[in-house]
Amino acid sequence: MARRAAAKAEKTKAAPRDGASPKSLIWVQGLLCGGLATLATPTALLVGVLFLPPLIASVVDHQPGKPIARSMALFGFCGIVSPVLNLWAAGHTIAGASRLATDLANLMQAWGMAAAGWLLAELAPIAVRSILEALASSRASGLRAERARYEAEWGFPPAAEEP
Amino acid sequence: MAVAPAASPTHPPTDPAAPLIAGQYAVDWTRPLPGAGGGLASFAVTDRPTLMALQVEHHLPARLRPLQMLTSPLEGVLCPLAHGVGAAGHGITGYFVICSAPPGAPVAVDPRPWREAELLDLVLRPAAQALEALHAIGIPHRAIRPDNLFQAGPGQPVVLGAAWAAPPAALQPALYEPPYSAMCLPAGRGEGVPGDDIYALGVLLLTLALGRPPLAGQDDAAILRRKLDVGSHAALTGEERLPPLIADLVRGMLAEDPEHRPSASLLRDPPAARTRRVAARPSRRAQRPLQVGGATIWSARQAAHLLATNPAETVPALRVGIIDHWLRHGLGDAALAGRLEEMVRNRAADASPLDPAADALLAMRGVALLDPLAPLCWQGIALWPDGIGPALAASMRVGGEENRAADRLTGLIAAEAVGAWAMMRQDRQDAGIMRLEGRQMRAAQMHADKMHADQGLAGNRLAGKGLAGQGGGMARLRYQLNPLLPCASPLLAGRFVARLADLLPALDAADGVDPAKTRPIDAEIAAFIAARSERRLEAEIAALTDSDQDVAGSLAQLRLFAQLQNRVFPRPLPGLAAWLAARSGALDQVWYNRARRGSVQERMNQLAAAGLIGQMLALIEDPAMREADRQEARDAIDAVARIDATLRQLRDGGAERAELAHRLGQEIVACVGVAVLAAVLTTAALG
Repeated sequence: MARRAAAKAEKTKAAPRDGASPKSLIWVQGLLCGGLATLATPTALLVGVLFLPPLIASVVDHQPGKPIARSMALFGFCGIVSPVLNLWAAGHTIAGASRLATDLANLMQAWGMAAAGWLLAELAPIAVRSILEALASSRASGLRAERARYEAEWGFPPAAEEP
Repeated sequence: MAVAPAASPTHPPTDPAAPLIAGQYAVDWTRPLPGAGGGLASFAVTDRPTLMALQVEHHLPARLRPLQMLTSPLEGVLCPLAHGVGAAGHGITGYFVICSAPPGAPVAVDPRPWREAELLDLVLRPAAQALEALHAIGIPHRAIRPDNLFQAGPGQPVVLGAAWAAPPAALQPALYEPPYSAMCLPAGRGEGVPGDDIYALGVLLLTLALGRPPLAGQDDAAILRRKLDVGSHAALTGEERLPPLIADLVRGMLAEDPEHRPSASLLRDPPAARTRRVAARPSRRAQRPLQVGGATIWSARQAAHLLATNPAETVPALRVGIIDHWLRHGLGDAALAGRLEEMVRNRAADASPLDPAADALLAMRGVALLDPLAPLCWQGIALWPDGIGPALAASMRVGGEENRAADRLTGLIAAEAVGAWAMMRQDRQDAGIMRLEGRQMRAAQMHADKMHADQGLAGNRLAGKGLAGQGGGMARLRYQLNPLLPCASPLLAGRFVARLADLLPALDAADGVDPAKTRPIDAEIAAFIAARSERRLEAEIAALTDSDQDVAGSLAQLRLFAQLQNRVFPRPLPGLAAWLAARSGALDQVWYNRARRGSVQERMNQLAAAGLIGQMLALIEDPAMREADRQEARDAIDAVARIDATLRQLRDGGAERAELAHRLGQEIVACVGVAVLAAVLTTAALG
């Protein structure tokens, strides 16, 4: 009985991850964005302009977990901290937000950080794979040398095909 | 006066390293003694002018029983003193029988008519005395003829020559043998009976009395036919005029039935022997002859002889009843005809038409029935059962009469004809023993086939095709029946090996043999070992295979020689051991570890150089080392299997590694991003 209940609970727990959760999350995100746009319109305007590359990436990145978008968001967020603080220090106005959003330096800082996040997300797996392949090759060489020793000592035939 | 050697008696010994016979006699093969051997080659014995050495021919083995029983000299006969292997010149060895040297030349060199007194005093009495002594210990002489009868000088009694270095009567002309011995293969005449000596002595008396051999100019076949047609006495004496006493003695001595001849002891008193008359029933002669196969038959004995010598044309006449009809109506012997008819009818019902031996058995039984004194007749050959061994030995002599009879001897043994023949003449010998002997011979002959069946091998019993199952067959039987027959293997060329103990040193000293191409054992040696080892090495011989290039064959060969060295020649044999080591390449496969193989091979070579075959075998068969090697091999196999599995996993794990790298890369980037963000926020918070 207890086992059946646990299985049911597991099923109900897994179900949102499969279908309902992303939609709910989108709704929550939309609600937060809507609330931010209503309650802090200057901040929303500034963030919307400076955070545009990560937002676009979140749309075009179809990988599970959206690792590119996530990386661009993390680094892009670093790039908008300073303009947002400046906006809040300057009185948090629409004019101030527009001025900061159109400031080329702010744009380059925010978008550059997003670009750096994208670049790192693309290069890091390649680098890790190279390291893993080198380790595997080294291990295979060691094993082949050991096998050759056995062949010489016991007269075993060589391996049929090279790994 | 001894027979003078052909060369100087001061001739130096020819080969100081030659083996001494019985540890004391050295054969001086450079000094032959012509005529002293009664047909066999004879040589002087170094430093023993009163002795001679008779050389045994390879295919005519010496008579073991007389050599063993005649331990002390007998008066009037040249008795053996020793026998064994000696130098035969040119680096080869031969088998010799050491005898007293003849006191003079053979009487055959000076043919002249002897007077009656001489015949009685110088020939008959001394010869009868010597024969009496021989017969008392159950040994017939079987070599009484003028060229084997020696006289020291005029007026001296004769001395019977040696008759021990060849099968009984093997060298006797048909003239001096009773017809039932003369019709046999020369080597198959068997030990015979004392009466055979009396017959030969009778012919000798006749020859000496006439001063020439009777029936001179006729060949053996014609003499035999004449004896069978008219009887020995009539055939040999004919119209010759003899002294009355000699004529009467010769008549009794030439009686057809050996039991009717006077004994040797009786002949020592010729007048008494003369009075002994045995009323032998003369052979019945038919009123009208029978024509079979171009021959004219007048008596049952002639019919038996024709059936024995020409069975191909006589057996059909026997089957259809022509012969028994003639016996009944032509010869007037209804009883014999009835027995023959019954025998043919029974055998026709018993025998399978597909049995190739059926006709031979029928002919053999027919001969035994028609002439109860006749020997065993088989497919045209005749022999006495105890002559089968020497006949088999002589069959190895290429070109001889016995050589052509080899196949028939094989058939004779396979059909157990000896037992069937003995059953036909139960009144003359113990049929049970003869049947048992026949069965034993067949068992030995068939041994190879049985071993082949046990091993699941195709039969290749005939020598020369291989070794599997060569512990049996005719070769083994040949050696079993001839204890002094030398091994006929070509590997022993030039060496006379009649004893098992002599085999290993002979192989050890073999030269001119390429060890890489020739194995140290062949079919003849296998059969020789099987026969001489008396079943003690049966298992080792049975394990031999056709080749020693595999582990089983090589190991079996090594095991056999190790056992032989251990049992019969416990001394180093470096030559043979090196030969075996050179042939033991296949034994490398016994060891899995290559380094161990190398060390074992090195040790093998060391032991081979020391001639220790037993230790070579022990090295190969070391159970602890073999088990350790096997265990290590199993461990190595497991380790290699694990390596291969890991290598396969590495080869096939590219996609998995790519996935792992992607995930790890993203997570690293995320971590870095979080760290940078935390740093930025901290900086911002601190102003």
